[in-house]
Amino acid sequence: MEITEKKNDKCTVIGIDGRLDTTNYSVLEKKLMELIDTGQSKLLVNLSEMDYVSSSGLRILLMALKRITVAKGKFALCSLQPNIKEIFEISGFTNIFEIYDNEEKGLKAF
Amino acid sequence: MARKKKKEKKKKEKLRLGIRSLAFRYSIFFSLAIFIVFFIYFIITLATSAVMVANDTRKDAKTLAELTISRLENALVRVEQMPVVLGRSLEKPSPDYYEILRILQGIVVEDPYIYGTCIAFEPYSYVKDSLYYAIYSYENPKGLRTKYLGSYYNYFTKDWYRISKETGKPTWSEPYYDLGAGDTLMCTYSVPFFNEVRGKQVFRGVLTLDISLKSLGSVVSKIKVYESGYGFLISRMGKVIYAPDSSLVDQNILDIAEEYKNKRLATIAKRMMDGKSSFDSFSGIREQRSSEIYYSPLASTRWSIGIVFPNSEMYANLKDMVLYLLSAFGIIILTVFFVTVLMTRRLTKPLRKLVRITRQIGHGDFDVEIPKVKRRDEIGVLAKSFFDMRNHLQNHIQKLQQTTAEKEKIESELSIAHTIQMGMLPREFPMRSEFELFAVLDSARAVGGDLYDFFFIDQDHMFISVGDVSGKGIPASLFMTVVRTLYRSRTMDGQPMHQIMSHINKELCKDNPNVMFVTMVSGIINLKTGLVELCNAGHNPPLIMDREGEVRRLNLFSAIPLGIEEYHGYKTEVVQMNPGDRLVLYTDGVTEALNANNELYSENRLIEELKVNKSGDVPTLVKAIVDSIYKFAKGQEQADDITMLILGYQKSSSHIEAPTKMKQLQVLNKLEELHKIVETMEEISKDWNISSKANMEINLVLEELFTNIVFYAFPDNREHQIDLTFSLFESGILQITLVDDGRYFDLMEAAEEVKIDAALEERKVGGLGIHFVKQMVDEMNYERKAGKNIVTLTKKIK
Repeated sequence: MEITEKKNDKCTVIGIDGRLDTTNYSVLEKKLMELIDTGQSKLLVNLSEMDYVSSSGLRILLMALKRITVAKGKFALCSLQPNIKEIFEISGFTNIFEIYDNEEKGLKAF
Repeated sequence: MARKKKKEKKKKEKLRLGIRSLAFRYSIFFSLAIFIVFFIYFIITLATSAVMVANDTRKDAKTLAELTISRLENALVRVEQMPVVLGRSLEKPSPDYYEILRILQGIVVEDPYIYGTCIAFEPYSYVKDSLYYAIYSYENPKGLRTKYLGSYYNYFTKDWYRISKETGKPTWSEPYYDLGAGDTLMCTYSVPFFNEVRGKQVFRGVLTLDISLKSLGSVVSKIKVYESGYGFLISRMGKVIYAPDSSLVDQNILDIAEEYKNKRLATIAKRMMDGKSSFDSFSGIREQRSSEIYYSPLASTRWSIGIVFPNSEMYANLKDMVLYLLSAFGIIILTVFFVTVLMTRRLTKPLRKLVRITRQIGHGDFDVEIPKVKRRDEIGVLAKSFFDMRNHLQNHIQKLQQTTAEKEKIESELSIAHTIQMGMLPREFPMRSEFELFAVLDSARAVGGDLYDFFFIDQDHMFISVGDVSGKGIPASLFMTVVRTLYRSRTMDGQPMHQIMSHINKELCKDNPNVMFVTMVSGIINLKTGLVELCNAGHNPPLIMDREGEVRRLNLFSAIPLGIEEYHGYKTEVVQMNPGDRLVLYTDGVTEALNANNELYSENRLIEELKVNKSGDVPTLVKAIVDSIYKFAKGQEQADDITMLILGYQKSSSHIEAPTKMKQLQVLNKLEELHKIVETMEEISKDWNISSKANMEINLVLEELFTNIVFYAFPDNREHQIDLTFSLFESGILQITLVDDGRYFDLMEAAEEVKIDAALEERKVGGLGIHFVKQMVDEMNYERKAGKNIVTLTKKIK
């Protein structure tokens, strides 16, 4: 898994590339918490390149959402692959997360 | 420094037995013995000496008494004879009285004992006109005096005259004080004299002689016995004539006895007055002390003389003797004691040395110097034997050390061989729904000759075998390895069982100078159909137990063991196993286990035990049988390897047909191993045509299950293996089995329902995994079997 970070004037865009599972979720956890702790409460996560996510990965995304909501920020996801989207549906996350079809739409929301 | 230490040690080891030492005990023993002997001797000597002294004393006393008596008698006899001699001349018709008087006067002067003499006539018989006529001559310090006793002294009434006249015989008077004549204690001897007148004896008068008792007493006073022994003299009537105490003289001894209340004296005095002669115990006249007395009478006067000798003085000499004896005695005992101590110490000196040396040898110091003992007695022999013993021991221990070292080497090699041999036996028993398999091999010795084996030939076929190599130890185990290599290489060719066995037999016979052989039952089971091809080469026939617990023996054609005859033929027999059947293979170590009464465990007992334990799973069954063997043979040494393999056949309940494709994977309980599962799934997805969606779902499920096992199954934090089996069935069903030997954990039980409709605030961060698992597979089954967690997942993928 690789994590990219792009900053613009509205928010920070995080890109996740590859598998997000038990073996590497902590890398993402560290990254996100670091950003939140440094006051960046506006995050858009682009999942276009993420082809697998396990419950551990979902847990991190849920944690980030909860922290940012408390900080009165904004946390959104975009560009989910169909398989991934299905997992989000099964777990009921589609009801909780703000999900946009692509990054462009996502950025507009901030 | 080291030498100093050694010296100190030596000093410490010196014997300090003290009063427990031989020397001391022997000395005490000898001294005691001598003491007893001396004591007896002493008592006897003392007793005999006392008797001898008493006898001697008595003899002396008697002699002394007799001597004194004879002296006294001498004096008295002389007195008695004189009047007799003179009497005759007096009895002449006309005796010359003056002549007679002169003779008598001469006697008085001459004889020291005779004090005076008297001639007294009858009235008017000598001088016609004189009534009294008596002439008395006596001695006094101035010389001889003569008195004419006239009318003032009426002698006719005096005892000495009267008794003589009346009896007509000479008589001795009792002692008396004659105040008229001698004025001294005296005693008178009176002799009557007669004249013949006309042929008739007519009494004319009395002739007397007076004896001074004082002078007679001096004879008695000469008696001296020891220091204070003395003699005394009493008259016939008991009057004391002489006693050392002069105040007693002239008193009656019976009066004295009464006065002093001395009964003993009275008794003795009476005996003396009776004229008896004897020894007697005595207490003294006036003094009271233990004495002895000897008394004897004088024949003439019937006086009695007593000689008294005090006991204390009599035994005085004995006291000295006792002292001398005791001192001699003490000196001898002391000498004996010290001599014995010295002698024994000298005798036991080598012994004490030997004791010290024994201790040193006991501490393992075999180089200690044994001093040469030149003596030829028992101790010498002991020292020699000891020397020999030391040498033998030393040799023996050296040999023992060598042997032990060699034995240890062999044992360590044996132990390595054992490890290798055991390593060859498959330890991981496959866990599959269609069969259960478990086996045990307990070696009797480090390296045994038994073997069991099983392996998959392909998906459906499994080879099983149990064998027993002739002999034990390393040769047997090497031979076993050869056998194993042979069947393992041959089985893969798909040949029938008997051909495999024949081939092994030929190979074994080829170069077998030691004629080792192996008995073996081998079989190939088709797990799909339950058909088993079996071949028996001289081994115990296998048993089959059905679902109901009925046991039957498979009486297969039994060929001879492998390795004996090169061209021997073997036979394959096919047995159908039904679901629930259990095939039991074992070696003779099971049926021939002996108990304390030399009874065999036997096939019958095995069958019984199988029936008893039929309800458990296969591993439990095998363990129960083996336990029953050890219980049966309790206390007996295990003589042979005990080997048993049981295969339980089962048809899977969920799907009847065999999988078309199968993949097995082993991973360790580490998160890093997850990629292996991912890769395997990648691989079989491609090979088995599984969609990427299904692949991802399965991945999700496996990740959840795997991480769960990694995190929760092993509290011991050790490395464990997790087995995954992927099976694809023709119906398009994918079955995945996960087996781990962790603690009991049923995921489904533990799972909490996840509320997927809940708002963000209510959503929990965990618990999502189980939700995924449930959502993404069609069926999930959990079993706990033989200490293992078995999770079976089923998902239709086509």
